[in-house]
Order: sequence, then C-alpha cells, then structure tokens
Amino acid sequence: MRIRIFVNSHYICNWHHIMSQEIIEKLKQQIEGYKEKPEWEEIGKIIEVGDGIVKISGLSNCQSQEVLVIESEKGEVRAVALNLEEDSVGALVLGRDARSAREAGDPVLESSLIKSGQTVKRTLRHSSGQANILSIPVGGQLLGRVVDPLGNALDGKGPIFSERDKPAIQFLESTAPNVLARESVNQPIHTGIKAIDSMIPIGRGQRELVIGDRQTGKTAIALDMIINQGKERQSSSAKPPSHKATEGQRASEGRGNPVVCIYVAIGQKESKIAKIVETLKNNNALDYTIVVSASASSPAAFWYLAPFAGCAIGEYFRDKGKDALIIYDDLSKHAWAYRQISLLLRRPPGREAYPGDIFYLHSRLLERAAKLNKENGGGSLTAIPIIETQLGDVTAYIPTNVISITDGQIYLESDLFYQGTRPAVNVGLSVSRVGGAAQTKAMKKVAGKLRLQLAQFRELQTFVQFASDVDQETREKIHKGRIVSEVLKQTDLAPMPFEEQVLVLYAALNGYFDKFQPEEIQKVEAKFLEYVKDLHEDILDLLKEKRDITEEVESKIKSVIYKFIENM
Amino acid sequence: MLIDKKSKEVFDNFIKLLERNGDLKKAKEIIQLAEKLYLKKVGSKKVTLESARKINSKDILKKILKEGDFWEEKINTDLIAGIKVIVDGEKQLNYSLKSKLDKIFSHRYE
Repeated sequence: MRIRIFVNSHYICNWHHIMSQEIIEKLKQQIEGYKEKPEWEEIGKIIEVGDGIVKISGLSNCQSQEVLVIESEKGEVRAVALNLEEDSVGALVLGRDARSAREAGDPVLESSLIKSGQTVKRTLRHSSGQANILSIPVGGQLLGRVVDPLGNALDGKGPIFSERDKPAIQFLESTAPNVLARESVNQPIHTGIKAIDSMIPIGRGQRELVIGDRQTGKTAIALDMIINQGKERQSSSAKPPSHKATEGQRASEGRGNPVVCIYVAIGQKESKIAKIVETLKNNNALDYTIVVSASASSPAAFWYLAPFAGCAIGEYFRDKGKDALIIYDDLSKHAWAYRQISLLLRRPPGREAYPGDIFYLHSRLLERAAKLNKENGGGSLTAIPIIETQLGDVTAYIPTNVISITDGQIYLESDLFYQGTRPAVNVGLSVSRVGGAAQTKAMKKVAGKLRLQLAQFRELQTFVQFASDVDQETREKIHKGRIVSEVLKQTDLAPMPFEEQVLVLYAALNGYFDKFQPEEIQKVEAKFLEYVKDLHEDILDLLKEKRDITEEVESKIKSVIYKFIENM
Repeated sequence: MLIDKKSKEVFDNFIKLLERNGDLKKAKEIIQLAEKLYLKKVGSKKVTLESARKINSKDILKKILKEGDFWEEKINTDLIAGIKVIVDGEKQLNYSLKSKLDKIFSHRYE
C-alpha cells in the first residue's frame, strides 16, 4: 500500500513537472514569436472624474462615439467619447473588457480605478487605421444568447464567436435607411393577441408603442409576440403553402419567413430578466431570440447603449433580408439614463430636466426600424418600444415624444386590468396608423365592424348605468357587447394563431354566440376551437392558405359554426 | 535658468494681472495654454522622456529633438523597463516593457 502511494505521488509530481515545463515552453514560444511595432499613439490626460463620466484634455483628433482606452492601475478601462469641446473631451466610462476583468478576478468598480491624471489613448482599427467607433460584433451565433450592450455573453454559455468566426461589425449608431431604400408596410406581423391583431394590426417594419402604467401587462404582450413568432414558424413549416400560390404571393404574405426577435431589457431587475429568459426557453422561443440586457445594477452607460446595441443586431438581420422584431423594454428608463449622463456632462437641461436632444435620441433609434424594398433585400425591422407611464399620465414629456414618433400605440389601462379585461387594451385610445395596410384580408373582413361595435357598447354601458328601465333592443346590444369583450379576453403566454382568431371573431361578431351568457364565453370558445381542430381542420388550413374569406370559405365557416352551436 | 530683467518684468506684470482678475487659481491652466500657444507660434515641440530609471538619454534625445525644442526627463518606475516618449502631451511612443506585457496578456481592441 505504502509503495503504491509513493508511486502515485511520484507519478503525479512527475506529471506536474512535465505539464509545467510544457506550459513554460508554450509561453516562451508565444513571447518569442511576439513582435511588437510601437506606433505613435494619440493621448490625452484625465482632468476630471465623475459618476461614470470623465473629462479629458488633449485628444484633439478624437471623433464622436469613438472608443477610448484609459490606462488605469489595473488594466485598461474603456470609455466612449460623447462631448467634443474646444480643448477637452467628455467621455462615458464603459468599463473594463469583460474578459480582463474576469481574469483579474476582482470585483472592483471601474469608477474607482480611474483617477485624474491618467493617460487616455485613442484606439485605431488595426486593419484600416481609422477611428474605432463604438460597435458590436453580430452574427447568427447570437441567437439564443443573452448579451450585454457591448456584445459580451452574460448567460455563461461561453464566448459567442469562436476564433474562426468572422462576425460582422455593426456600429451602435448608424443612419436609418433612406426613403428610396424603403417600402410601405405591407406584411402583417401577428402578435397572437386577438384584441391587437383584430383592431390594432401591426405590420412588418412598423413602430408600435406599448404604453401603460406599471403592472398592466406590457411585458406580457411583448413576450406573447415573441412566442407567437415561433408558433407561426412551426405551423408554416409543418404545412408548406400550396404550390398554387405564386412565389410573390407567398413572399407578400410573409409565410415561412422566421422572424428573429430581440428583447432589450433596460434597467430591469436581474430576477425579472432571468424569469423572461426562462419563460422564453420554456416556450421554445429562445432559439430565435436574442436578449440584450442592461440590468438595474449595470451603469447608466449600459442603459443608454442597450437599445442601440439591440438595434444594431436587428439591423444586421434586416439588411440580410430577414424579418426582425425588436422590443425595447422600456424607453422611459432609457430616457432617465440619458438624462443622468447628459446632466453629468453638463449639457443644459430642458423640460423635466431632460436634455434638448432627447427627442432626437428616440427618433433616430426608432427610425432605424424599416421595411426595405426588394432591391435592398426586402428585410424588415419592426420596433415595439415600451413606455411606462406614471399614474396613467400620457401627457408627460417622454410618452408624448414617443407617441408622436411611432406609427401608433397600444394603450394599456390599470382600471381595465383590475376589472379582469386582460390584455387591458384600451381600444378607444389605441391605434395603428399603418398596420391596416398590412392586415390580412380575412381579418379585415371579420373585424372591420369590431371597433365601432365596441365603442357603441361602451357608450351604451355608461348610459345604462344610470337608467333603471332598458328596452329590449338596448339590452340585446349590451349583451352582444359583453360577449364580444369576453371573446377578446385572453390569458398571457397563450397566443392564438390568426386563423383561429378569425373563426372565433367571425362567430362572435355574427351573433352565433349570442345565446350564451357572457360568463360562459371563455369555455365556449375553447370548446369551439377544440371542435374545429378535431373535426374540421381543413377549414383552418383553408384560411391559412387563402388568408381571405371568399364566399366558398364563408359558407364553410357558417356550416361548421352552425353544427357546433346545434351540438352545444 | 537665468531670467533677464525684461522677462522678469513681464512675468511680474502677468502675475499681478492674474491677481487683479482673481484668476490665480487658474494660473496653472493659463500657463499651460500660454506654453502651448508659444510652442505653436515658434513651431517647436516639448518632449517628455519617461524611463524606469536614470538613463543616458543624450543619444535618444539627439534623434528626436530639433533646434529650439524643449525637453524634460521623468522617472516612472511603472514602466518596468524601456522608455516612453511624449510629445506636446498629445502623442506618445510607448517602448516600455509594461506595455509589451500588457499587450501580450490582454485582448486586443479591434
């Protein structure tokens, strides 16, 4: 026994010795093979350090948005130039390179490493010798990953790009496509939410704002949208569109074209982001989704950069001719971060202490969402910004700004939410200015009257509250209104395919559900869909294929609904 | 450095002017700026040579300096070895061992 231990330990010692020799040899080779060409570097000196902000003298050739490197005691810290003044530069600290910080193994905050008097260097691109403008590596490898606004992985699944990959470099700030490169919005992007797809349709390349107080289900709508993209893809790949449809038709309907989703979390709790990632994973939605996370604990610089990073990733897919969907959750926090940075940079404050260019900040971000024409690949980037209002005040500065920038808004109300109308969409205040052109014909025909009917119902309902006696006709109208509002209710994480929505809405709006009580509607709807799926699946396929309600389809739908009602 | 009488008078007046305008706090910046403007006007430069320990810098300086250029030597032990040349506080050539090691062991920015 003793001998064995001796042998073992001897072996281990020997092995260690060999290993360390090998490592030293390798290091030697690396160092010997290393050739350095020192070049003239442009430098400046830090003259002031603030909360995440540094003021630098010198650097006279520095460009806006250029990455600078501060030589601190513990390695290099990166910063990005924002203010270019006559003899100084105001820069935003980005932090150490994630890798070097991890290797150093110390959790010291970057801000405490930076001291006045330290040297700051410009970083030039080795390949072109041009200024290194803030950019992020992008590629298909990002799908299914959680990254920070600088493109570093946060999900512990290792590096995103391998040594061999040559990811495209996309600038965080880039100009939006011009008029000639664009096309009007003409393809729908289905959210899977009945109230939205029927009354506030969203098209690919549109910018639709989701606005509401805290806890009104804004993020839930966004998540439903992401999950529904996966479901649409599944159903379209399982049953390819018929060969009769021409290529053009298929393209114009946007079928079989998977939508890449990007979820940008700005200033949210890490726990909430983790929950969202988990939800996406459980619903098989993470495979086609990228999460850009700037959590509550990350510096304001990250909050400010996150939407631009997400947009840069979205643009990559858009320019490749793919369809992408980006959700900015939420832009109010983004505005706060930008206000903080601007005030620290001593830019003059304006209304609500926001800087003068806060409108431009959001408009240039959202302008990058576009539908490109065929010559430019035909890709699209749909933007869904989210704004959180305080006590329903939509007249505050940021909400009005973003409302005016976007092509419509989905307005969520806490009163409706607590009444049990979920999603709590206020139909009267929600609009989609361009989505109508993209809505499928089938949905347009079915839901054309829906908005008007609901508005009439709301009016009657408030009127009837004060009247004791109501005539038969009014009572019927109210009953019908209740049924329709009941049909529009939907639980979260249960997006509904568009053809099922069409069927349900057709039945409800044409009075087939009138004989039921409003309380029963949810159950009736579920049974109806089950019935159709089990016995008349052909009608769903027909709707999916034609995307229109022709006379032939309508008669089929009528007979199916009639049979179902009879059996109930 | 010996200052002739005329220069001394100019300096004294300058200090008095600063005092009268309450700008003495900013004297350092003003002098730096004046120096910068002067160098620009004359067309020469100010070279700072940093090294880890005292070195014989004559040969190096001979190669870099032109007539009329100013120079200064500094000891900076952080460099470990080698030298660092800084011109006008705006450009640097880093020939130090420290930067070499940093570059070997850290990720390149590209």
